[in-house]
Amino acid sequence: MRRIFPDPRQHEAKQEFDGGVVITPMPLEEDWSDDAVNLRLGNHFLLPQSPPPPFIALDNIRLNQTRVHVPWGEYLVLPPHHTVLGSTLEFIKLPLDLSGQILTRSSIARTFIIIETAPWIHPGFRGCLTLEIANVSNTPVLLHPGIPIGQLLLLTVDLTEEEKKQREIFKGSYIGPTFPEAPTFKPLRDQLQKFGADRPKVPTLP
Amino acid sequence: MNGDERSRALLHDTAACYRFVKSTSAACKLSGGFPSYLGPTRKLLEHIQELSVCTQTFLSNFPSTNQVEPAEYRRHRQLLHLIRETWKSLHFYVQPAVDADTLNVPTALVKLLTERVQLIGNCKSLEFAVIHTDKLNYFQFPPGDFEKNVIDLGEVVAPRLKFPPNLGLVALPHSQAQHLFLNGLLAHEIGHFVFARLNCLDRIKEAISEGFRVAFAPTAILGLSATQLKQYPEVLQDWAEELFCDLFGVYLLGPSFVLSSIEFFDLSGTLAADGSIDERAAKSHFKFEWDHPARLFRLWRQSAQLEKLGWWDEISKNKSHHIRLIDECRKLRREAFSFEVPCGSSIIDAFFKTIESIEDEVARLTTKLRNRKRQSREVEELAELRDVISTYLGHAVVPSTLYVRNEFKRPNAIVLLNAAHLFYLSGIEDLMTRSDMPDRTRIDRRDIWMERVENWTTKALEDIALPNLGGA
Repeated sequence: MRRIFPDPRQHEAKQEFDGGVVITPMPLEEDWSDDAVNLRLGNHFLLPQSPPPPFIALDNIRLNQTRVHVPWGEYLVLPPHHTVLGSTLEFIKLPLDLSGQILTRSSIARTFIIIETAPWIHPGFRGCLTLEIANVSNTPVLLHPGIPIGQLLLLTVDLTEEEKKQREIFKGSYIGPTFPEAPTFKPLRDQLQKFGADRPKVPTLP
Repeated sequence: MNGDERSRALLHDTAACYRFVKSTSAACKLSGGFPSYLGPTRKLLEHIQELSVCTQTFLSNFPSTNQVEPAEYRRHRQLLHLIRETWKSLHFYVQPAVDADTLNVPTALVKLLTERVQLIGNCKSLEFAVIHTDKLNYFQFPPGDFEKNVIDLGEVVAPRLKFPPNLGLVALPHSQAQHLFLNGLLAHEIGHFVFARLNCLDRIKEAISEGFRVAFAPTAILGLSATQLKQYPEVLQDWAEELFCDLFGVYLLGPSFVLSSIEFFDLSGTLAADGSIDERAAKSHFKFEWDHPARLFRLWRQSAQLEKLGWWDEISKNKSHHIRLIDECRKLRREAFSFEVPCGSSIIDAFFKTIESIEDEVARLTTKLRNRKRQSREVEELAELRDVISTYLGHAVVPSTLYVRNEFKRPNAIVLLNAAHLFYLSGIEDLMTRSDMPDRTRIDRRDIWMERVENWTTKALEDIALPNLGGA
């Protein structure tokens, strides 16, 4: 796999739409480097349930998360050892021959903020990237929407024509998110029975 | 009652009133950053909260003696009555305003509308607090109604506290708060505020009187009762204001406003199977009502306005049934409309004679907003970018930075809104055919894609409001 960063000026909206990268709104000139581009923190967050539930089963449950909007200039306080879902300000569209990776900017990482635990972006992805933000420090951190928080790197992938065709299809209902969305899971029983496991046990709530 | 009993009675009722004020305003106490509010809504909530603090302080200071004389008792009773009545009326606004946080109003659209209004001379400082209503309708609260209550109370409890000047109050149905395109109707309600604030009626009144005189021959006027003589010109004024606000909406948002009206009032249901207007099915929409002109009359005038402003040529190519309806409306004539009251036809005739004055008044107000250059630029840009924006949306991409003829371009917000609205009407099937469930008859899937298109458009409107991002 070869790491590249295509010149966004190669992107053509109409004729070659499927072949191009889109990053919108276009980052500032200073955000571009030879191998990456800075991405900014968006305005929308999903706060975890507080106080937390006794447990979360990775089942087709609906998590009780609260969406908040933080206007420009305001901030969200992320207490020590707490997490929140955020998203990038930029909406990304990848072509079918590129995948991507979102990494925490090094200066941000040095405050013990981690923005991603699932950094891989598949070819054909489109949407604002969901950020799993964790404050692993001992100090509350103020998150101001608009700060450059992550870096996007792109990598070429070789997909067969058949694989490309498959990826051209918009799958599911969650294509093109513009704010962080709660996770969805298939029923736990279905996930496990696929390979012949027994009925899953889940503790009952008091 | 003796003096002591009067005092005790007042003390009890004052405390009850204090509790009423405290609990009524409790929701306005904004603590921390969440939920967040648009500036004007925050101003409204803060004003109510300050008024509450002042009212409570005022109530804490009377009555101060153990023995209350009858005259003093009566005076205190009057004050308590004023405070109660004012807070009863404020009660109506509190929860709808608290519910209208930035996640529960179309924030990007409200900001866009405010910016557009502020381009108009004398409207530079107008702003709008958007609140919810449980009615399935859009409202504007006449500037006098809210302010008068607050000012009367303010003079008693806090003479220095002034209601934010130039703050308009408009309401949208709480159930529709998440929608983007439908809420284009807010432009009409904003028009009501502008109409009142800039005394537009004063300039139209003469045309209304003249129209009335001409439409009613002297003999016909003699046949009207005193009530009718008073009532009919008032009806004409109400119709004039409604038409003004519709045309104002077209000036503010362009075709998108008209398309919102069609959806909200379910006017596309008037189309017959052959695509013409079904006169039987649309019967009620041809009728003028006491408080507003016939729905199809309004659409007819809006379509004329679109044509006058140059939008029609651009949007007429769209293949949606909404555009077909607008086209059908353009063929309507005066004879199609009725007002089913004695002399109803003459009243409509009188109204038709004032249409030009109303259109002139809207045009006069919006000269700056609609100078020829800006207007033609927006229409030209729609012609240039409509297909590009459709391509972006058709590929499930937010159209905030467009790549056009080898350069990046940020679309004008009105152009973006209108191009996206047209895509919303005719492009959803493009998206569906690209998905893993291409069955275009699946209403639940269509709903999801419609919501997505609104989200992408909202995001694009937010993006292009950031001055330094997004290329040129």
